[in-house]
Amino acid sequence: MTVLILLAVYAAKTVGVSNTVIIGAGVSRIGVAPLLTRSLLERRTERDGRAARAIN
Amino acid sequence: MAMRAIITATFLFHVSAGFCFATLTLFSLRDLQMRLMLMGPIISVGGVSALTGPLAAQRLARRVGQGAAVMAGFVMASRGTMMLLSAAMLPEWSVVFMVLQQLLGDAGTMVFTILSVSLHQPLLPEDQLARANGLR
Repeated sequence: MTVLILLAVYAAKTVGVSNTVIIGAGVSRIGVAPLLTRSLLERRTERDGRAARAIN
Repeated sequence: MAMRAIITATFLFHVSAGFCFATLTLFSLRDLQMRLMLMGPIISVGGVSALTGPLAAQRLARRVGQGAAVMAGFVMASRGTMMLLSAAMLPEWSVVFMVLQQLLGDAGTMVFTILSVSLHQPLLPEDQLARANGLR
């Protein structure tokens, strides 16, 4: 997190504060993509995981 | 597979948070020309919203399922961050967008964090839990 804050300060100095916020917002949009997996979306409860681990 | 999805999303979530929240005060005061007296109440809206997140997380998970609730939390937090973009584009409406950012962002962050950590526990072996949490 510290590294990211330092990176954000560097970005704010080079491309401007508004653009840094826009970059951050863009990254948060990309972050949804990895969650679109069937194994995650089909998981109903925490017990699903426990049961799967017990079977394995 | 589910664990990889959560860890990647958590990583990107923190990259986004680092970029947005390190510059939030500067952005509000300098770019949006928001008054200092307004910043406190707006941020306190986020405090109240963050309290509703834990209350909603379990109910949401029961209703739509754990995995879908994790994604709903992430989408909510992401929508909150996108409000900053709207505030930059329409500065005359910036107060409304900043309040929405606090409402959606903080509640969504709490829902995503609580439910994703709850998913770590059944998915990972005990000796790897600390490493996964260390990513945060």
